[in-house]
Amino acid sequence: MKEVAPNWEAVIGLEVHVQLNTRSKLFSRASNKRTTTLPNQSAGLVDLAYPGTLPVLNRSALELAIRFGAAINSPIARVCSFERKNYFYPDLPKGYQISQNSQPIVGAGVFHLWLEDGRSKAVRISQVHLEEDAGKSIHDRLSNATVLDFNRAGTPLLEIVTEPDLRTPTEAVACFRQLRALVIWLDLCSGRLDEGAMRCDANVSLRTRGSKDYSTSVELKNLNSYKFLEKGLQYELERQATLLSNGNTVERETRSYNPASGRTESMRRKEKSEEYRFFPDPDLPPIPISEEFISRIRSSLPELPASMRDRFVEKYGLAPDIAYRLTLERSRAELFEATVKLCAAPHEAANWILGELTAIQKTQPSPPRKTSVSAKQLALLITRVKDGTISSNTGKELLRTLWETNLDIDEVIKTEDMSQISDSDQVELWTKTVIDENLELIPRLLKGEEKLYEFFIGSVMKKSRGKANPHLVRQSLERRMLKQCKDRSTEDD
Amino acid sequence: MDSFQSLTQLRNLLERKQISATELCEFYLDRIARYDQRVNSFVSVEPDEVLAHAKMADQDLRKGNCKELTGIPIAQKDVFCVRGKPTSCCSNILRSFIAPYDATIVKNISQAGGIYLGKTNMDEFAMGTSNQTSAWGPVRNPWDLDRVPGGSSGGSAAAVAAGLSPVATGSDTGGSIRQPASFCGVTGFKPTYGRLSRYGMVAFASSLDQAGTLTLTAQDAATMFDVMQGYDPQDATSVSASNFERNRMQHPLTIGYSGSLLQDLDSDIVRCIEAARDTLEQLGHNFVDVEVFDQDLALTSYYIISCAEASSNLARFDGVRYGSRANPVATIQEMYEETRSQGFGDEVKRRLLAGTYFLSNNSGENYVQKAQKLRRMVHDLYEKLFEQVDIVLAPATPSPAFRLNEQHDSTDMYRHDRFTVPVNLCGLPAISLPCGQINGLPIGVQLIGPKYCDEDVLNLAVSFQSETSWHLDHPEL
Repeated sequence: MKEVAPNWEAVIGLEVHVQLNTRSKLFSRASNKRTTTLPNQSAGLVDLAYPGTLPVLNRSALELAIRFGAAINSPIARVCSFERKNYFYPDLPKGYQISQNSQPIVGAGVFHLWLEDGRSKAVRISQVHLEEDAGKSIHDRLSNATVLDFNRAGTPLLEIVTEPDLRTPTEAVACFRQLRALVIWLDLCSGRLDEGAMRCDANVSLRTRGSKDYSTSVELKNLNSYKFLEKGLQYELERQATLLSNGNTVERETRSYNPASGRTESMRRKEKSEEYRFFPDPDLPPIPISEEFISRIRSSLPELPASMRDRFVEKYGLAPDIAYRLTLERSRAELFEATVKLCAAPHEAANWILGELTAIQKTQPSPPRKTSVSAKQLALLITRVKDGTISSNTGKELLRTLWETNLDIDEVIKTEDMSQISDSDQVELWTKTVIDENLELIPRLLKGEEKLYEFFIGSVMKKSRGKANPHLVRQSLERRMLKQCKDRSTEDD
Repeated sequence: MDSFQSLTQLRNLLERKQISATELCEFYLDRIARYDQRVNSFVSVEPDEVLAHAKMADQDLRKGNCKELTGIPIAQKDVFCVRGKPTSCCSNILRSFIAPYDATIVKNISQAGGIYLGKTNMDEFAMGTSNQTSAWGPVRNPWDLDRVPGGSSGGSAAAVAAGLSPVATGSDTGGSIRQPASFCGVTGFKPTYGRLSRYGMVAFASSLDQAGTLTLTAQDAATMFDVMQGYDPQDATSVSASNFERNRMQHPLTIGYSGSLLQDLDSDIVRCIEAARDTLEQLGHNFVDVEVFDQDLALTSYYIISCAEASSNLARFDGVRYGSRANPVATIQEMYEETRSQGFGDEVKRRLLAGTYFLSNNSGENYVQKAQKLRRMVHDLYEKLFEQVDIVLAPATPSPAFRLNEQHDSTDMYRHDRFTVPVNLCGLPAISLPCGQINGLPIGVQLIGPKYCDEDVLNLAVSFQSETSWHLDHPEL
């Protein structure tokens, strides 16, 4: 894009839909927990819009919406009211969606993005509102018909709309990622992108660099993973740049990203703004929201990632990007802090959590919501590595064992005979044996062949069945290399 | 047995074992079989099931397990969902629809021992004032079979007037209970908005719809109201008991009366209304002259809001999940168009089109937003009015029943609702009581109360009927 049009910059805003993890649906008693993949199992009469049925607001969805508003420090409406957005679509049972148009539950605010280069960027949130999800139209199941699954109909959604403050696909991805981290942090949503628990659309345009034009011409859909969001935006920006540099204009339209082709495809023109005939839903009288209700929710908020991040940098001396990565997940951040409290080794704790623990986590079947290593165990492990009882390699092995069981670390070290051997005489013996066995390689080792050095270390470790203190092994090998050098030089002489 | 026994009388007969529930139900089933071909007030009746329920009621009666309505057959307007029964709103689009659940008021009635007698005819989706828009054909007025029974609860009013059911439920969005009550010479009660659950009553205009009853007496209306009313957690507009705890009105009442309301009415009707006023005066109540809101403005507000809400409420009838679907069709768009073109009648289409237009945002304030302002003005005016008076007395209809197929354009028909509509705009309780006859046709008068004063309205109506006998007059079939 930059090559095509260096004098243009992107104007990107996101619309993020978050499925709230309430027990029942937004306006019905039907279950909001999907326990089966069978279609049409969790849609009740209200969700299917049977004649005579009426919506009743699920208060816990309202509470979660306010929780989000409080977390981004936005004003909360004093009255919760709903409107009907009227349009026909087969997976929209009532012929209207109950939504909030003129009075969103959460007003304008700011979301602070943390960028990889350490900068922070304020992204304006224009509004956050509650609405119900529609069912699903499935077009590829049957060749001659569309089939409908209403399980999703009535699921509470929080729609977060940002101002077009994002300037690159990378920033857009960072924004989506960090919003996702926040809603999981606040326990509003599973965050499962693969299940559609969070979905993302983008409004995107190009403007002359430095211009103050915030209008966007294209609404881009189907950007429901970080990868799709990035690729979709990149493609779309290039497409627009090419059009503009050829002197064409960009049509106002809705486009969809097609992951198979890597392109964006036109869905429909937006010649005039769509007519949804919004009006207040007469079935849902406005509900006053008391100051007490809001402050109760406010005071129940956990410490937020941004504040925790800053605190980790300040209190534990962590690098900002380390602190950022630790605070992407609440369970991770909490494990870190609890571990540090027990072992006073923040850098080691961060390394273990972001390194080995995350690696193990990735191999676990999803959802790996919670680490199953306690702070107490991790702290002890760090202590045992630090005090030399075990090697860090053994520590890694031990961590895997601890993941599956809940054993006492010292017990495991003992029974599994994991303790590190720091008996220097024993180490010396192993080193000597290895050298004696590989005398022909010594000249190359002495010439400084790095690989060979590692081979010798590895061979000694092998002899010790991994238990030799690697530090001692190195010391010992180097001592013997020095000795060999001396020996050889005297021989030469 | 006398064909026109009130609910109170029937309860007495049942309790004293002078009649069994089975005999009672057989009596009404027999009358339906005999007369309803001419009246067409019922759209579905299942005699075997009615009698099976009657048998169970008789067992309860023998054991002395008497609840408020044990053994009493009750007709349901076709707008209410009754589990396992056809619920069509007298529209082709729901011709084959079987309700999978009971409306809350249906449940309340059956829990009180009431026996479901059948579904009564109505204007399609409750849109109409003459019961001529029903997909099941028009209902005829038992007082004169060439005349309409009023609407939209025309089937319910005619069934009670003809002695085919002692009681019937109705729904009232702009007068749909009170207007047919006036035309058929029965008692029609529309309670305060929110006191009877709307859950399971197919919506026409959600902010105006209210369930109610058509009965032979005001006392029966009060009995039914007791059984049907109450907060329903499935209806967010339902009111909880704390909202209507207020002191009962003390005798004598101050009743508001607007002479200007009667200005363009025929002298026959004016005479009937004045007679009603005299009766209440004789009961010791005081009358004061009051000004009421411009009726045509209220009517305008009503039609805009009701059509707008209807256009949205009836969007669910799209042929996708239930009801009829046009076949074959090539596209989704065509499915919608054909299904709805074939499924809805002209009056419904007219209102849906108008409502869709009213909701469209033609730069700035649309019709609906303006209509809501008017509605607030009407509301404020009635609030003020009820600071001065306890009850308002008003005509129910500007004329007695008109002839079937008599040419009226839509707006003429709409004007027929001008005395009843303001009550719905404000969510007030009101009752229509027979107060006279004009050339052998009954006519009603309305008593309107402040919000949540349903019991006061009913009490006054009961005392009115203790001094009058119009409600005891019945047509011959």
